[in-house]
Amino acid sequence: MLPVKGIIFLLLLFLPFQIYAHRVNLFVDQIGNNLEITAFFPDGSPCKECRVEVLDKKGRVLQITKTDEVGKAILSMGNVTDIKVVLKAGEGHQAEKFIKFDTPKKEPNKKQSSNLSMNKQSQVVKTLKGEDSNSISSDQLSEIQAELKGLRQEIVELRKNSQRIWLRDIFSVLGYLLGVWALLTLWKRKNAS
Amino acid sequence: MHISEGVLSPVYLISGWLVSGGAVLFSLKALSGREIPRVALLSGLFFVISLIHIPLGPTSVHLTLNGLLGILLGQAVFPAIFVALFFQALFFQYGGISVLGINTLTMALPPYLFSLLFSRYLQKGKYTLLIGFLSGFLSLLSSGLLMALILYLSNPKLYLLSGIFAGTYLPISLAEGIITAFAVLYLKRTHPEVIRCCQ
Repeated sequence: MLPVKGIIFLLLLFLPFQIYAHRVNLFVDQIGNNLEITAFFPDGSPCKECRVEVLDKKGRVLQITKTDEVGKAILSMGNVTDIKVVLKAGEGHQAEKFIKFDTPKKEPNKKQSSNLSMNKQSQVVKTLKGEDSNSISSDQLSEIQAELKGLRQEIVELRKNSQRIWLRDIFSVLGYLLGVWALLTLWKRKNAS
Repeated sequence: MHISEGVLSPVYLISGWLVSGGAVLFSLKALSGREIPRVALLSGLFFVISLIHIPLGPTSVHLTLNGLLGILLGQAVFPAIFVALFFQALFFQYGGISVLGINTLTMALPPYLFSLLFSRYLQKGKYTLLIGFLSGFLSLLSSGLLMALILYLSNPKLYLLSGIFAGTYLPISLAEGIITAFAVLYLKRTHPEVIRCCQ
């Protein structure tokens, strides 16, 4: 019989410490023509100065960068489709993500652009006059953009929390682990009998 | 204490699976039903303790107690570590299924070999504290060196990474050695029957 008290003591010794290991989480989002990369460890701390490689379908390196102090990197992408983002966190730990990069449509030429801006201005004027309820003013647009930024930040936090390892996760998996050994015991007993 | 997916070449992945798979099966076959609860408990200990990190300077470290598992389980250290690593890979994405073989091999082979080497000294009951320390220290250090060697052999460009990997194992191995030494001393005095060599 093992000294259960001793093992419990050993476990309690380390319980106050954070529970996580060297896994690294990687999230890649396309925002317009940019690739926004977020990398963090399971405790939510950012993966600082981690090397990021962007490769094409054939495995050729397209871009290399490093994450900043908050574990983020923004890359401006050219005309690419399928790409692989590899994050190297050191000591043999890395994470990969494949994404389909939708290259944004080409910018309209200057003439079209000026026509568009004229249209936008006239729409704003119409809105102010209450002529077109579907149009939005530049103030409203900036409000929406600020709200979207907040939502995006919230999504990042949710992702971090979903990847975090809690004590309840460890104990539930411990149940599976002991279950496997219990099944083996049953199997051995059945064979022996 | 693991190598992630996508780092090693297929030759190493297949070799790792073949060798550790064979060791796990052989060990399971030899394992008696009476011993399984002990293996299960220590497999659980390895699983939990390697998820708990202790901040150390700019980085953080965790214990594995693989040296202690070697002394207490002998060859059964292979299935104990295999099952723990399997669940870590499956539920928490640490390591991975393809690298499970090589990770099991690097973590279980050194403690098994050191348990063979030190068992006669433990049986005599001499230098228990020192033997415990050496088992813990050398087992983990050898695991780290073995991983660094595999990383280097798989891709010589990873020589710098391999060096860092090996370097970070030294302080952790010392801590592991001290904890294993006291654990072995305590078990030898109070429950000598749980130590594989002294049954």
